[in-house]
Amino acid sequence: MGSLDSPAMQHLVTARAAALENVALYPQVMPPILGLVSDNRSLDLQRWVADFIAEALASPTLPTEEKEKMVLPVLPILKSFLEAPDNDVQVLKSAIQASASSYPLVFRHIITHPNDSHHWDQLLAIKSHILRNMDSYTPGIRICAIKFVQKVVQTQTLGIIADPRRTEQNEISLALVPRDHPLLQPTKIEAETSGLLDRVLDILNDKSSDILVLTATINSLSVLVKSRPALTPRIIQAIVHSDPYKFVKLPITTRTKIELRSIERTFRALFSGAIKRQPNHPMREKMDIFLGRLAQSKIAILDETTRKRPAPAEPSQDMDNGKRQKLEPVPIPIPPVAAPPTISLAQLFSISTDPQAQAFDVTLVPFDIVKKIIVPILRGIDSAHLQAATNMVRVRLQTIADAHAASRASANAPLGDDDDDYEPDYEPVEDAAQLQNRLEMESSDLVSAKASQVSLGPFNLPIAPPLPPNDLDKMMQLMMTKIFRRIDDFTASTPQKAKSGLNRLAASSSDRMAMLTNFIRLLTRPTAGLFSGGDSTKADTSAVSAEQLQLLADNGRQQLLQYILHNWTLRMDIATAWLTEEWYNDLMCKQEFDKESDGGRKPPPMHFKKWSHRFLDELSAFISHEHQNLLIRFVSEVPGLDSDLINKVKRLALDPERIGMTVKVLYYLTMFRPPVKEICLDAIEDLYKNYDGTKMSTTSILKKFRPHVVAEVPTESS
Amino acid sequence: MDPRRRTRSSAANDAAATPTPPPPPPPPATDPTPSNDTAMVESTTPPGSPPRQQDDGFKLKFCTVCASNNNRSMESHLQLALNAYPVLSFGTGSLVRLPGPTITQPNVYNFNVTSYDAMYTELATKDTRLYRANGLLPMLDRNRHVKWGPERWQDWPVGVPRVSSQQKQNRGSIGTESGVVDIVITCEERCWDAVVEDLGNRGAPLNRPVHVVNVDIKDNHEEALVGGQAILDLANSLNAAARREIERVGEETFEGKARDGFDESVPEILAEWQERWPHLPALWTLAWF
Repeated sequence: MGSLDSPAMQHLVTARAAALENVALYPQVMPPILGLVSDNRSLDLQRWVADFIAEALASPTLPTEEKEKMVLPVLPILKSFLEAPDNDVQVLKSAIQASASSYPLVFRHIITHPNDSHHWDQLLAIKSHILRNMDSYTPGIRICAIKFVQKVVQTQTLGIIADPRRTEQNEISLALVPRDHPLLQPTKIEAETSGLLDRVLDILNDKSSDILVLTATINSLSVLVKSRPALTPRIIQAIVHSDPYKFVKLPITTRTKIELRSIERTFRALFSGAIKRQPNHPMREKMDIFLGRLAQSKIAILDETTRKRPAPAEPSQDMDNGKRQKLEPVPIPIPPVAAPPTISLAQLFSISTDPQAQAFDVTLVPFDIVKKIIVPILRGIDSAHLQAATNMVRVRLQTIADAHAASRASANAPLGDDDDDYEPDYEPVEDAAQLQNRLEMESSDLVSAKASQVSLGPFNLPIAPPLPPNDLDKMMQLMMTKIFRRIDDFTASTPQKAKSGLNRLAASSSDRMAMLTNFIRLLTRPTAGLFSGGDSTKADTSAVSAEQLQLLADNGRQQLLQYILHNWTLRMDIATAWLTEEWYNDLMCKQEFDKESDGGRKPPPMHFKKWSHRFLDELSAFISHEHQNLLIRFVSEVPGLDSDLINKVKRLALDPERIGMTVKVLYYLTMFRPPVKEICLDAIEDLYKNYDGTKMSTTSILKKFRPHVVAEVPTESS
Repeated sequence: MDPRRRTRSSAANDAAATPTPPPPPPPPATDPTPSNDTAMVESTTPPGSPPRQQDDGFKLKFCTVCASNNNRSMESHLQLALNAYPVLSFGTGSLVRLPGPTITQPNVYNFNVTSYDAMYTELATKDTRLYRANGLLPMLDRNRHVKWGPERWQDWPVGVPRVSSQQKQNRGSIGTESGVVDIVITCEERCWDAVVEDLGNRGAPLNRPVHVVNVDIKDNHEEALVGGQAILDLANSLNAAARREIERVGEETFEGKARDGFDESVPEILAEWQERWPHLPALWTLAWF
């Protein structure tokens, strides 16, 4: 309360002490004090009085009625304090606090005195002054203004009426206002209040606020959350959508750490209070998420400084973008030197690999320029570089010396031409080619060593050792079993789709047929070696030889065959597809072979014939007359039908039960596959002539196509 | 009530006529000899009453808070009072809990109605050796020379004048007559939470800002001593800043705004203080009475 020296001040202090002892004295003490301040504008007095007013109006022991009477004469004083041009921080703080305490008191007075527009206008003037200046006050005053707004919002929203009979005990709020009040129109007031609340909530997102304003706002909102449940969703919604840490200024200092923790804990206190009052709060989840987010981002902000190193201070623009090299001294690369017959002293001592630098003739540089630059250059030479360069030359000399020693060791080495007189230190005793060889080897070693040291090239995993054929076979079987199971799954799960006929593209959709097609092609094509592109090296590096591959594929084919036969009535289409692919593959191989046929090369193995025959052979054990349609379909769809295949079919007729079926199949082929018509007719004729019990069914066909056969046989038999 | 205490208190002071709260202990300066021998021995331990620094300058009003209003808050209460700060102290626990003979048998007292003197007498009667060895008796002896008895934060009617004769005898009571403070310093995060939450529940009827600072102090005698010094240091720094603001009259800049006021400088002061006392983690918020 400032320094209080004058006797007048001492009087005031005594008066205040008396009022504190007995609050009933406040109404008596107040008017003279107010009179005092209106005459005397000394700063100490102003501060003291403002503080006294705030204290008196806030006193919890003084009954509201008394305060309500006391507050009306105070209003002009508060107004003058607020509007004074040279307003002191302390006076302003106290005056705004007092205004906040006055607001509900005057509000209540106006409720009971609907025609007292004089005092209401005074209050409105105070309010509008505070609201107008709220954002330009310094933070210490601004927080008091925020609290004032909170008090206004609290007063001007509906509160809880604890006991309608005893109005003096009820909280002062909009609920006390009658609907027909001339000064307080609830709708207008509600609209104004909503705007004021928004203004407070905006502070949460206001970048210009600081942590003092933020925590002061949260703690005043905490009062609203408790006393005005209707506003709670709006307040919490605004909070959970705010980013409180934007008030924290980086870099992390002790202050930042305290601020981070303080903000988090202040929010936590607000929410935990709300949750304690209402454990199943509808917005509880949102609050929890918000608090979790706060805690996490706090950790993230703190981590950024505690864990990460600051960026290294070296320049980075000249570095390799992909990967910066280690900063340890890099070994100086040693460029290769030429062989002794051609090596010059210049070459021996040249460090640079740049051909232009090597070709540069230093003697062209004028002497005075050399004089100028040589000293700075010598001064600027890095000792490590110098050392390395010296070592490099040593290594070169050593290399050449080693080469000499090696050739001297071989006793029968003939002496080479002694033509490198520019290198008198060494007598080349080996021949030039030998030396060149050796040097080339050495230098290529050096180059590769250099490469591995300097550049970090792509890393290649070593190629795995080839699988032994047995394992390969096992793996293949395992894989095929899996694929078959997958195909079966498709059969079971996918409904039959409408067929698109010839327009269909094989393996274009991810259904059973596509899978089958892919699988069969994988099985048939790679072994043919058609698509290796003639790259012989590739064939050489592959882990499996062509024979092994062939064997593998044949095993696969056998497995596929078994798979088909296992449920052949359902898998006939697989057989057709497979054999079609085999046929096409054979065709391609044959064309390729014919194109390149320069003799000496083995013709490619033909799979179609082998496997179609085997399939029919296996099938003949199971097939009976009721599978007639399946067989017809198969022979009509399978390509490359030849006499051998038809003979296979024909031989089915050895079983009397299958004669009818066989004849029908052959007849069908005669009718609908003209290319094999003659072969089929031959077969039917053969049946007619040489098989028992076939005459009945074949006669009518032969009568139609080869009447002469039917005609001549009876003559033979007769 | 304990018969021993009844006889003792009725003999001590006529204020016993007021039914509640019980009478305050006599001020330390005027009553150097407690009635029993044990207490006489103990009375040498508490900090004597050095001449209170009379300082007419501006003083912030402080309030220290711990769980039981016995150890940490009372140590800092004493230190602040010795430096002429207006100071109150409270506990946020539900009961005053002091260590007993075992961990499951604490000595439990009610807030607001039990005096430090009564506790002292009771414990001295129970087991003088034990309670002197574990520091309880010296602590209570110190406390009873600081104020009458432990007060509970949640029961503190903020803003109600503290002008009873008992309250006036408390150390650091000068300046706290109006029943409000500027700074609340808690000694444990739990207490800070309790204080902030409680202030929210009270509905902030006074519209008065209050800085609530936590200084984490372990609950033992040694740490309390160190913590008390740290809190005094913090109080000095805060008070200096507040005084600067008060004395900065007519120093407004051209735009009519003063430099950073006291309230907004609190985080910075706290951070500087934290650099000096890094092992007492701080926490802060601006709440409302």
